[in-house]
Amino acid sequence: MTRRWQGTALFAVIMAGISATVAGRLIVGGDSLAAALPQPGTGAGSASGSQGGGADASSGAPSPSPSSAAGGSSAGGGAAASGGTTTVNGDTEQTVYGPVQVAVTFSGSKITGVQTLQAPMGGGRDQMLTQYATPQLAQEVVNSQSARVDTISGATYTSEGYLASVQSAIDKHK
Amino acid sequence: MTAFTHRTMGTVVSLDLRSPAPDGLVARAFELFDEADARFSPFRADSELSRLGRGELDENELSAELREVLALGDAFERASGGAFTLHPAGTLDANGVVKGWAAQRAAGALAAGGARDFCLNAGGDLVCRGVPGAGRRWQAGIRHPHDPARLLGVIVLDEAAMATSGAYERGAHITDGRSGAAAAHWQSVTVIDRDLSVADVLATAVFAMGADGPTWAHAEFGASVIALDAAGALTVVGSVEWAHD
Repeated sequence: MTRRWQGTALFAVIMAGISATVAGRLIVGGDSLAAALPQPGTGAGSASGSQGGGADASSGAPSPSPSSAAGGSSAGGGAAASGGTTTVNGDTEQTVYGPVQVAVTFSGSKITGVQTLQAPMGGGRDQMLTQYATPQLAQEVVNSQSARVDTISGATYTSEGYLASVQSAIDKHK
Repeated sequence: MTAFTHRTMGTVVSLDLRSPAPDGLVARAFELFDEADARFSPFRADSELSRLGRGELDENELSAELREVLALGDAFERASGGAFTLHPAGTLDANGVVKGWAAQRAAGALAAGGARDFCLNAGGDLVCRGVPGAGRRWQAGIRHPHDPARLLGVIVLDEAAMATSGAYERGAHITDGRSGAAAAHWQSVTVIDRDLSVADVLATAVFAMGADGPTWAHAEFGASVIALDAAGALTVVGSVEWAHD
């Protein structure tokens, strides 16, 4: 452990006003791992919507939650395997918020898409109002909530369940 | 990009690799977590940590790894005036140190082994190296403590580590070592530093310390802090670059 006395100018900003109940939205460009890091209810699974992999079409696959469907993760993409791509359903993992299940699309051994088949509903709970010190900071923070996300900080059983489901699909694919 | 996940240490580690890496390197990095788990798990009676806790090991019998983890914890215990502690209620608990330490070590092994562009995420604590793509920079969301479907915000990171401690899901699990009571000032504390072993301990220490924590972490360690208090007010200390697209 090293102590660092960097003498960096310190600015502590304590905030007031302006609510930020705008839902964090994962806009997934290309092949971001955001596909494999869930924000259930925000359409994180939409990454694969444009990947052409197609969701699993096998019978018995749970319907996408309304929220992930809203994010564009259509399950109507076609066959489970076509032209070198394969889609494998992960196991359903139980989390404190409810079951999580994904379908992973592979091109060879490479993951080209992850779709959310089941995700707990995130919305509808406590709408906590975040308070910001300045309107400028509020603007910056709220704008960032809809920015592209590569990864997520902050442990969550939900994301662990999600990743476990991804892993199980990878294991099945081997 | 290639994604890998690995269950270890009671959580899931994921690696998002954006440029090719030598064969076997990812497996080796994941093995480091398993080794840390075997050595430090409080849930394994035969772990070195458990044996030390039962008084079965002398000081001079400890591994270099255990010494390093204990030294890290003790240093932050002193620096935080006891708010952070490896010894809650007289026990020995290295959980507040081990995950970040192990992940930083694994990231070091990946970089040394030839991985250039990656983000390693150990149960929500992460290290980014290189870039996610041409002309791009890593962007990390911070989950909202009340709602896993929302983000507090999204931060741009270059070659940095980020750790978040929150009073969510597992309940109030961070104790202020000075009082022994559950720390209640913050809902969520995110720390950004160059080193995840520092960021992870600082996130816990700031959470435990309460209102003075963010300025302390920045003044003493140069870390940046984003913290949401129990009333919903956001505190930002240090230089934080919010993502905008």
